[in-house]
Amino acid sequence: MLHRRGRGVLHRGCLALATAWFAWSGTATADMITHTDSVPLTTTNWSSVLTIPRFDPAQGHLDAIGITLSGAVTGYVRFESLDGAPTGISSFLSADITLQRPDATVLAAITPSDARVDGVGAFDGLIDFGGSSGRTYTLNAEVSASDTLTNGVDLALFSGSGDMMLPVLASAFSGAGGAGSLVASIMTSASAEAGVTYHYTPVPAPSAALLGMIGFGFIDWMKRRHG
Amino acid sequence: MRRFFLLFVPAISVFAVAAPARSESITYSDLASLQATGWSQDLLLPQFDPALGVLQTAVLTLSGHIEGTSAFESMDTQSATVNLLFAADLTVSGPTLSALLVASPQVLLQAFPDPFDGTIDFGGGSGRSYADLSADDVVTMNLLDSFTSLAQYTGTGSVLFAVQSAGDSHGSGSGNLLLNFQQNSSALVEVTYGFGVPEPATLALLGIGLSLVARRRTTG
Repeated sequence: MLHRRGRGVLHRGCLALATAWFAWSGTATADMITHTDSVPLTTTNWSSVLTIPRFDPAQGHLDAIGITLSGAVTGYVRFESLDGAPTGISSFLSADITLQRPDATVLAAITPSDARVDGVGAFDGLIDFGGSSGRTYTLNAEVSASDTLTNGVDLALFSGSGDMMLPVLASAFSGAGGAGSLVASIMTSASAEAGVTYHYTPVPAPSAALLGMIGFGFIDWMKRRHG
Repeated sequence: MRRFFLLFVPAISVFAVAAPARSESITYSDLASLQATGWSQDLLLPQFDPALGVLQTAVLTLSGHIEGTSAFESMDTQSATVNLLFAADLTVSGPTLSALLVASPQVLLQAFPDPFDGTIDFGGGSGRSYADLSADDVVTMNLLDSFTSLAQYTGTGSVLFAVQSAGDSHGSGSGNLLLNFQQNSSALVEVTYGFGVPEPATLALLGIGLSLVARRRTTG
């Protein structure tokens, strides 16, 4: 009778031990949290500040920070060639979009750009940005870039309470040409979105730690009872 | 005396033939007058008349000229750097329609406008206007570098040169930019024929030599 009861106690002890081990090891896998902030399409040039929550050290150990910067540039282009012969009119635009640390050092940078060449006829007599000698259109481009930060300085910079204030700037460059006499206008806007992903190893959850303690306590109790 | 003639007459003749002829040149030109860029025009220049002498060189000169205005307005909210290129290509083609010369007069301008001042007037702090812009470019080539060209430029007729002007003005800089170029262009095409003409003294010596030879033969 005692022998059967002892085996049952031992079985329950092993079960408790397995539960505790599972609870402990289950929380040791890496996890991630992503925060994003953005600047909508805005006439260039502009500068703004993106707000990203810092990583809370209470959540675990920060292993790496993934930085993603996405940006778009859009240009509204109009031109009229006033030349007396057909010609090719080129236009282009680009925007340097830069995400910075609070100390203005560069975290990520992208340059979306677009260009176009149009063959147009001799001046049709009307400056209407249309007809055979003019055009009106939009140039668009989107670019994304990613980087991973693992150095201690950046991990410490992004850890703590409160928010990170990350400056973001957009500086556009545009142009047009190709005729001797030309009327042209380019209006450029740019947008930006930054994503910050915290890759971390979580600390054991209180419930898991409690289960572990119960399991080890039960084993200790069994040993003393059998001893 | 007879020995004198035997030595002297051939010497005079050889000297007369070997003596360098006088070099002369004659220049013809035609103008495609100032007009809005983007034109094509045929110019006729006389061929070299073989009666003038022996053609030695034929130099083609293209003088391209542009003039006009340029203006911009930066509408950025920050100061910017704006570059303007006021330019055109003037091309002259020969009778075979192949391009012979290209003149590319151009004016480069750079400005640092302030943030947009709210008025599109191509002036103030955010705009600039450049009046009386002009530039010239002169290019030359020897038409007789190619043996096949000789026949095209020799005769009593004319040579057809086709001239074209193509504007190539550009403006760039800020992301929000208004540009305005107004351009006229002209081209002057010149051909200078260099040729050799026997000197009168040389001709006289040659005549004397030949007459003495003829006299010796008749007296002999």
